[in-house]
Amino acid sequence: MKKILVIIAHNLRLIAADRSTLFWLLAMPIAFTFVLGLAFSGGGGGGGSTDPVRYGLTVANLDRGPQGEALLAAIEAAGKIDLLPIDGADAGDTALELVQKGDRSAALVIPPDYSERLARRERVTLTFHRNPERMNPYVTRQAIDEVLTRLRAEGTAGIGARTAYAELRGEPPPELAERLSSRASAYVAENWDPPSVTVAAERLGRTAGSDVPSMGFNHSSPAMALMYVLLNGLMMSIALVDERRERTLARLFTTPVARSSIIVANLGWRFVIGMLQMWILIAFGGLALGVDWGDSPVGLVLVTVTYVAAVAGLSVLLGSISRSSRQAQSAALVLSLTMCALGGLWWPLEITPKLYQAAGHAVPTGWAMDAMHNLVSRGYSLAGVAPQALVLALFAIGFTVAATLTFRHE
Amino acid sequence: MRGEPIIEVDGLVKRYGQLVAVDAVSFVVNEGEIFGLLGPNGAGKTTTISVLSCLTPPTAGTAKIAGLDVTRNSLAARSKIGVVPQEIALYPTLTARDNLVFWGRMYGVPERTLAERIDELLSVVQLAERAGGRIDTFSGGMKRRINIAAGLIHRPDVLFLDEPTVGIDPQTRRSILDLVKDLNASGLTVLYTTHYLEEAEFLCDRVGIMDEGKMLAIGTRAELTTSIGATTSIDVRADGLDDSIVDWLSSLEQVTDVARDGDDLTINTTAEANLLPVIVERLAAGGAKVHSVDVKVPNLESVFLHLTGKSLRDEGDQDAAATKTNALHG
Ligand SMILES: Nc1ncnc2c1ncn2[C@@H]1O[C@H](COP(=O)(O)OP(=O)(O)OP(=O)(O)O)[C@@H](O)[C@H]1O
Ligand SMILES: [Mg+2]
Repeated sequence: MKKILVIIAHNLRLIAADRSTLFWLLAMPIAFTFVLGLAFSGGGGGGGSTDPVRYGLTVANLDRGPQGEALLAAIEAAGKIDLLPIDGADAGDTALELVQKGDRSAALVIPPDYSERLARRERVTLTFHRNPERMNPYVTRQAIDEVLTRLRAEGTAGIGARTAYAELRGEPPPELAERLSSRASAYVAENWDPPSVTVAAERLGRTAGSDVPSMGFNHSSPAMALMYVLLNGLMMSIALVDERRERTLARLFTTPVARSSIIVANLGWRFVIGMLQMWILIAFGGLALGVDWGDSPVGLVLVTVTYVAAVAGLSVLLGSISRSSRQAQSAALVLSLTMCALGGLWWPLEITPKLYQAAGHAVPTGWAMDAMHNLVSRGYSLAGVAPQALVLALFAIGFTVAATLTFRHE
Repeated sequence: MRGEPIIEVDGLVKRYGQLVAVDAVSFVVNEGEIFGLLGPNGAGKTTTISVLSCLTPPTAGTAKIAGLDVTRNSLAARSKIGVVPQEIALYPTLTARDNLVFWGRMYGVPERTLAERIDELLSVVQLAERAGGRIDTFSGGMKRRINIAAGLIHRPDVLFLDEPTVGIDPQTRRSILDLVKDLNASGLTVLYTTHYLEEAEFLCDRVGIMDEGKMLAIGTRAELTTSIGATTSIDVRADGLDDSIVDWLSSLEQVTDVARDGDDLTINTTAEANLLPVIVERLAAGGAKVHSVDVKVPNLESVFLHLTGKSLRDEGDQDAAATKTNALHG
């Protein structure tokens, strides 16, 4: 045990003596946390703008009467949506085309007979085109529904007022009927407060915000921490190849230190560096970028421990099977960059197709990023990240077993 | 043979796929000996040492260090041995001292004696003043000496030296050989591999001759040369030789063969040491005038040639080996 600690300390010292270490371990990830954080900072997230987010909605109003305009005015007045109107006779087709081409994420088409049918109290259908790969339509659709619900409530209130008068006093004269219904509608409009039950978009468990990916530093801070722990971790596989080439590993095997101790020490020093790096970056995100790492410190510890253990295991495995330091270096780069892209570190997995998401969960990064989103964006408790931590632990065990089987001194 | 057996190798086989690197090798090294493994490139010397230092498991056979089996009792066996590998095995970015500190700790040398022992070793290998220098700033010979020191840090009972003089200048080479002799004089048992027969002759009490994985013969130099019936040949050039001297020489018991060609006389003998003064005296008494005497003592080269039918010195090595002979004996 003591010798394991000596080997770990020895390797930490060799790593610390390398001047480029600090740059790769800390400076690079911090720089990229900023860059990626700013790139994604359209949304909320610590350090991001506190203004409510506005979404663009393409609209084609073909209505011959006044109700279409009224609907659009009401949508705009609700304050969540910027309308991008399209004019002309074939506005409906244009809107469809724009969404199909992917230039617009969603479009609302109001049919020509909208006002007429409303007047006749007939059912009327609005067309909502949406691009399935975008998030915006979910939000705009919801906003439209909200406005429609209110307009419908206003109309119903008017009818209700007239019906009530008729029952109590007999059929009102047309002028009074008009006043009754507009007064009732106005009352509803003024006192409209539909969400007597509010669903907050954050920190409400599994369903909350599950469609809307975390943005800004809330994404970039954990993502870059995971990425650079992986990249540096795998790069440290080179040290094992070097130790073989310099024959110091063979010499170590001639000393009275058990093979298992040598392997544990090799995993150990990589684990220590990974954890140091991870927690410095977490602290930086929390203190300097205002990232809230969630309500479960135990969960965060569990996720980082299992993730870093998986990285350490993979690093030793890579070092064991690589024939040269060049080979180890290229493998480390290719592997870590692939895993970053697949695991949703550069863009949230939530915006990717199903197949991509499945691929992302074939690598540890996908699970680690899930866990981070659950902690940071969704505010899950320990139980909410336990499955991810378990999978990461299985990755760690698998890599470590493979590393143990392939570990060699020549 | 000075002491009890400390290295026991019995029927050792090591295969790498089809290739048999060590083929049923057996030998014993006794406490206090310098035992040489002599053989050309690829003979299986390093492989034998690797098995003995618990680096490679044997395919068959057993190897014991101080009675401890290297496969079953590996950790205990390893604490008895010091290994000086063929290639430098040190951390290039660390200083000489820090390297020795690390290896000392790996051998479990107590912290309180470690610094003291390192100072002692550094002065033994004459690098005390370079203790704080990084290994990658050292010359080849300096690295070799630290490489040796690292194998001695825990005061092992047995030291394995695998071709420690390859690729260094004659002076450093000489100092390493002297160091090995000194260490041996203080009680250390040494297993020394080399493909330089001069080193084997200079250093080793006994030599095992290896080729293509096989141990061909084991013994002291005298035992080995006698075993192949090799004789010393004495070439004399003198005026006034006659056949009576040939007859006289032929009658001597130690002389196996005599031939005269004019002024040149060639005598083959099994005991050159006693014979030479007698011959010179007899020639002088018979009125002959001796111009030159050339004695060719049988060496391990002759033994190797006899056993394998090929020379131990390969072409490129010839000159190097010759200058090294001078360095050794000159
Ligand atoms: N790890 C290995 N894998 C395959 N073959 C090996 C391995 N190690 C050694 N050999 C082969 O075993 C044979 C003996 O090699 P070894 O290194 O023991 O020779 P050596 O006597 O030390 O030679 P040298 O004087 O060149 O150091 C050689 O043919 C070598 O190619
Ligand atoms: Mg060798």
